[in-house]
Amino acid sequence: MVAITTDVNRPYVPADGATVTATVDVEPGEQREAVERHLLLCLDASGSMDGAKIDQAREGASWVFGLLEPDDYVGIVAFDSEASVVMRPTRWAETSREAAMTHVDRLGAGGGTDMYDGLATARDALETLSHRPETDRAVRRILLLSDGKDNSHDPPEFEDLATEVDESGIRIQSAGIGTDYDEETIRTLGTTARGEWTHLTSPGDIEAFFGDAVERAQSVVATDATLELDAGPGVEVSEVYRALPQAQEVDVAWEANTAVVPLPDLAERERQRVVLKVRAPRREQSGEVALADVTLSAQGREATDRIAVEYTDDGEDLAEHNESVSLDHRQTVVRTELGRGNVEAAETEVEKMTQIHGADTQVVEEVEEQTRLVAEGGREERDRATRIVDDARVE
Amino acid sequence: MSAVSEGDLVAGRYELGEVVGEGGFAKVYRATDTKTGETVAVKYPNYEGSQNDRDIVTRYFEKEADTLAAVRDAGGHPNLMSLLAVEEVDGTTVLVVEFVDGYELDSAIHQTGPLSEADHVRQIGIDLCDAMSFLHESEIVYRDLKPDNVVVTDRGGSVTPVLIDFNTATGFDAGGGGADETTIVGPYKPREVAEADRTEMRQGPWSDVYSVGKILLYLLKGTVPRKDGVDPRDFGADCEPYLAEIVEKATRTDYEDRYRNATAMKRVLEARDPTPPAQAQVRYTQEDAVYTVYPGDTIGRRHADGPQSSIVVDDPEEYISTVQVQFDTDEDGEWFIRDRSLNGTYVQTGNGWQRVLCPAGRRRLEARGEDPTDRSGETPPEVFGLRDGDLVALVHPSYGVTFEFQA
Repeated sequence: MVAITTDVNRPYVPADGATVTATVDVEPGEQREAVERHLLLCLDASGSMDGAKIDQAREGASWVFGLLEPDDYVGIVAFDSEASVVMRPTRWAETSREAAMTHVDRLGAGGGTDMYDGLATARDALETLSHRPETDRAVRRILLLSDGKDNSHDPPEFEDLATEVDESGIRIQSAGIGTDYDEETIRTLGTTARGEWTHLTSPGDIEAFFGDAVERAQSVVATDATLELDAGPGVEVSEVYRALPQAQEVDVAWEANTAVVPLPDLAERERQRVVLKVRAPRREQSGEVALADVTLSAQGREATDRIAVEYTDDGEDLAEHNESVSLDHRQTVVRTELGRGNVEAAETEVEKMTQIHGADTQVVEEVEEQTRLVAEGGREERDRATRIVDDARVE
Repeated sequence: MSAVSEGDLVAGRYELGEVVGEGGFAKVYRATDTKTGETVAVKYPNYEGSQNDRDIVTRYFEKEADTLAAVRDAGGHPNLMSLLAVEEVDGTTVLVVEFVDGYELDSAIHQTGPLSEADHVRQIGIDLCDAMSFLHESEIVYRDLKPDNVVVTDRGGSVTPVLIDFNTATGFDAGGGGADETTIVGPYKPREVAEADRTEMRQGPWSDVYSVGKILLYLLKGTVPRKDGVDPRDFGADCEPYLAEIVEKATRTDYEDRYRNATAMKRVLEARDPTPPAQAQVRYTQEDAVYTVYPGDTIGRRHADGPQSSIVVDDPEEYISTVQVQFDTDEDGEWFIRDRSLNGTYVQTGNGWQRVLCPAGRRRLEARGEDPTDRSGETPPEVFGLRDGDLVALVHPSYGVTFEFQA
């Protein structure tokens, strides 16, 4: 069963109130039935992809075919100066590897980069399956690969498009390859449409990017997952981030006292973690108070917990500090900034962490090392910095 | 443990060179044995450089030491890193092991690209199966076969894979997935290992068979999916059908659909024929249960949970060994059993009960002052041919655990 657990760094607060840090851990639970996957490979086929990259993109498609189950759907959209549907979404049982490969073999590279049209076309292609009632429960993914910059659209336009894609129930796994793609665009797509963004160093990484995305889609327990925070009067929520699976800042939608934090699809054995700050308002009366009720819902699955503190004037209690919660939040902030390449912002944060928690705290040492790596490194290090190792999982 | 560095003399004998490997449990230095001039490797538990808790590092490090010692005691194997010495240094156990000079399989394939020669893939498969069979005969399931645990080295002019890490190997009786086991996932792990905490599926020799199958796909393609039952041709590998079918069968989800053990998989690779080797049946006469056996299958005593023999017998008295007997066939396809027990086994052929006993069991009985001979006062054989209708009695014909062999 899906379960959530909340934790706060300061379980006791004074009458004046305080800002506490909270974590919400989501355990996805087990898969009840096999899922149907709707996968759309959205491939950059502009001139710069010519050679090893387009070859490996073909290999990547070939690899994906090996991973499919009969009930899965797969399609391919390629974009250069304009987008084209190379293979419309097709039920795997109704085609064959040979037939699918004839589409893939036709993939060539040339021309400009209209990624926006590519993504919109990919979305439209997947939407052709929307009339099927089964699609409501399907795991729908666009796997986007690009090595360049869109010729005429900027990141905010992509954010709007990704929001639309996300709202239609489709998640985006975005990958940039090489050193010339627009990082902000790739990052925005993965973050906004509740997937992950990834940097690929060499063409040899393409196959694994597709393979991993397709296999992880198979372990999805429930799509359309959200955390709803029902905040008490005077309670303010800020600095909301997803820590796991990837450090990402979350755009929270507020309605009255209720905030909705969108989550990636819940997948078996992939714990998710959301970190946030909560302002506990002034309160004369001592005793325990729920600052926010937290409800996870995903396709009818539900789990609840609350972020609670106890108001007290007992000095010893007030001194209680659950440091790991603070560290989880701060390291997520640092790692998100590192993913954006904001080394200075990260350094400022690390300095604060060092003052509060000490330089020899393991998490502080780790983020310091990550910050150094990003300062000296490039896109690969920025990607890697956003991946927090989940101790419960050993590869 | 005090910090060690290049140039240090360990245990008064091994001069440390550079660090050649570091993982979650161990840190490995190249070293020179000043007594022999030989290059060796010295393995330290990696307390400082690991994300893992100290006691977990210690536990896995000791597990590795135990496994390596068991391998050495069983005579060693060309595809398994050999243990040279165990030393205590300032209260820390360190292992002195053979220095395996070569490339880890994953970096080798990164450099060369996937192997295009089916015969190279096949030979590595045969070598790995042979290593696994050897471990299984020592009642060890390796459980963690993956490319970065294999070094390819040059032995006598041929490329040979050698297993270098043993910290997740576990005894047949070690309990598969207790609550304290760290979850180990990854595409080389069969379900019964990756999901040990929530599956009833038993770990056993078939678990390593799965991993060998995935390694063969890795050699052919350079990438491996988590998916089970993988036919390399479905992933675009240009591969001979026999090899593709062997990989597909070895990596099935249900262990009963795989090759039952590494010996069986080795045979099909050698024969270039994916058809599982001959099978026979045995009937547990007291329970009236019939089992299918393949060459390499074993009968042994049941444990609480975890990896066990192919056929398990309840034996509260614990006279039956965890691996009591192993079935096999010779070059002509004739069946025989090999005793692997401490108390011996009897076979009833046309003219009475013949005792069968392995040398280790014989030595143990001698040491205890018990009779290690057969009915004619001779040293019992270790292997004995089986024919249709023969009875196989574990421990003694009167012990009450008897199997009828049905060819």
